[in-house]
Amino acid sequence: MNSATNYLVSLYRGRRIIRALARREVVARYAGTLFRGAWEVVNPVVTVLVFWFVFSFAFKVRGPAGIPFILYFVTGFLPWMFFAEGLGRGTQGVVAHGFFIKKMVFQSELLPFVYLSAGAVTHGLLLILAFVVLLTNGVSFAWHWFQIIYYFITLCAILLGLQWLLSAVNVFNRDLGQGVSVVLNILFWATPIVWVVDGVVPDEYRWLVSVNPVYYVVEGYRGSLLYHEPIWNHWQQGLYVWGLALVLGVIGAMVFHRLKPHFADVL
Amino acid sequence: MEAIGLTRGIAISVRDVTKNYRLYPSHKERLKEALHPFRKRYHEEFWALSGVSFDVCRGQSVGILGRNGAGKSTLLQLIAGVLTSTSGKISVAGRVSALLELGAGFNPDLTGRENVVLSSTILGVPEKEISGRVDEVEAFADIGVFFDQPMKVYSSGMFARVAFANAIHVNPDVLIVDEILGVGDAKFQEKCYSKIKSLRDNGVCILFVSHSTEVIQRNCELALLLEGGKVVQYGPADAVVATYHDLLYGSLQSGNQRQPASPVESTEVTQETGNIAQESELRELLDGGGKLLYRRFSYYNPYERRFGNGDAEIVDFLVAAEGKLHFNVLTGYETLTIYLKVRFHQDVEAPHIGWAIASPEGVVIAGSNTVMKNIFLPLVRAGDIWVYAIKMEPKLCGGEYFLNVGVGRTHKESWIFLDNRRSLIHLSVATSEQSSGFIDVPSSCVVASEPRNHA
Repeated sequence: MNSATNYLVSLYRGRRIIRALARREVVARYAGTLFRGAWEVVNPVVTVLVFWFVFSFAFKVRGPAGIPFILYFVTGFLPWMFFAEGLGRGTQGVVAHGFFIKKMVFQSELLPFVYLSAGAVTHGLLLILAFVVLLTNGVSFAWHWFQIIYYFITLCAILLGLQWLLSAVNVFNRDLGQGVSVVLNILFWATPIVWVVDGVVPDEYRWLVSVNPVYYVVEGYRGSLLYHEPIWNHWQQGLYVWGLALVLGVIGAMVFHRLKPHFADVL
Repeated sequence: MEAIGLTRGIAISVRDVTKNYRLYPSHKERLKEALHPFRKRYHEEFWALSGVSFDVCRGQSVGILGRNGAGKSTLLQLIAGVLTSTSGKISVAGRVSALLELGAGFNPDLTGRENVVLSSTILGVPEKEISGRVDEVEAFADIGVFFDQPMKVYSSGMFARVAFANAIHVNPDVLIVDEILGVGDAKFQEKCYSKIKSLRDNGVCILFVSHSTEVIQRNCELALLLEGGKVVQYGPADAVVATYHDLLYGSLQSGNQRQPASPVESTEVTQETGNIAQESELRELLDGGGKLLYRRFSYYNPYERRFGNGDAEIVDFLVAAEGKLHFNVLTGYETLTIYLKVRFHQDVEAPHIGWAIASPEGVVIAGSNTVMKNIFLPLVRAGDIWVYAIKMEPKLCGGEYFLNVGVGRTHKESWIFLDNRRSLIHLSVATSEQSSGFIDVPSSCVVASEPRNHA
């Protein structure tokens, strides 16, 4: 218990390092290219447009209760993108910062926070675009919109444990990065982002969808932005997801702590 | 890395530290071992350090010596806290600043300034001190506008300047420098060493890895000699450097020559055995015995470069300092005699012998040959074996030197190399108090005029 407290204290003390590294990460993402990071935003926007075109016009998919597909898709895709990017980049985090770990006394356990903070910047920009799309498509503003802050924090909590776990194991087995992108690909289609649960999944298999913690967040974003649904309507699901995040967090922190002394030997 | 349990005044305490690496044939074996149901071993163990113990007090500087692979860098990385020891305990009091390699922890895409800010943050420099610190680093590194350019455009010298300036300006209690000062130019090196000295005077403890024993003797009072991951000797720098030289260039009789106890007796013994050995080996060379005598001496450099048309061959050689064939480190003031045994495969009307002293970088410091010296060597016939003796009094300053020797002839005013052996002989000269550089040029200084009283 004492060492766990120390761990938390060291994380708190490292907040300046997190800020500095996150700033660097953002600068690297936005300043490295000719169009000054436009790609960070252009890429997801183009993806949204392609999906919108294919599913809306070619497959004639409709959102539930007559909601235009574009709104249904965007509100689900944004948290998903944050999750997928965080997991993909986070898994490589320790390896990518190898030059620090080998040469300096460096608190590598701070890295997930760095990736979460840097990802939050892109997420924020895309959210602003999404708000514009929502408002121009006849969705009205409600206090429920602020609930996405809670759902965002939930998503970060899930990611934190996973990033600790995966980034540490990835140091010893670099195949993991490839494995993660395969799993993310499957998970994208397993989560109702481009499709609607109602009428697709038989009732007896619904639990299979809700096992996925990202589903809770995706539906949470939609509930807040589109249906104006309060958080407590899904409190059991919320309890499950936070429990899962806690378990993942503890396992991730423990594995990371155990493997950390060997990073410099292997990197 | 805790400071608990350190006696007052002790900055670094290393107790029975062991570092072992598991070597796997490939990553597949690492995974197989991790997953094997019966815990089968797939790795070889490599002990980079074993049973290393020593203490360093505040304000002391310690040079770490040892051959490549002796464990020097591993030890520094352990003390810096970058690596974790397999067993044993390392305690360090205060902030450690480590310069483990060129560009330690720098991102080449960021500018020098950005990197310095970032590394200050990671090292835990308080936010309000950072900008002042960056100014100090900028002033010390003195690389002008390049400080605001991405580090990937830096020359290696600029990189070293920023890296060193960055390492010393975090107010460290312990400074670790791993062989990087060689990159900067002479002026900057001088600046670094004087800065290191002032840090030492302020109680900073300094650990130093360098292959230059001269640098270690000049900058460190203590030295630690590692060999095969174990401490061979820890003590005053001069004594440890002497042991290190024995280890590197150790002759057949190395070992008891350098024991400080009863120096008179041991000198006598050395001289005696030296004379006997000299006679027998030199006689063998002159008499034309078939054995290759040079192989018995460690001054032979197996990485020599050899070229020539093959009409003659330097088949064997010996070096004598003040007439003695057995020596380790020279004082630099000895008379050197180089005996060359040459077998000729062609008749040569006027053979020439050439010689030169070169620095490890290959710069010829002094050189000459029989043509320049107007020495005429007698005609030789194919199949002849001649022994030539080159005599010189080079007055060398401390450092490492290589001797080049060669046999040639002139043909229509141009040289033809018959057998030229560059860097054939490696000599090691102890640092002297009297001069620096390569050659001790006879020099002095007197007062030429006293001040006149204008009052």
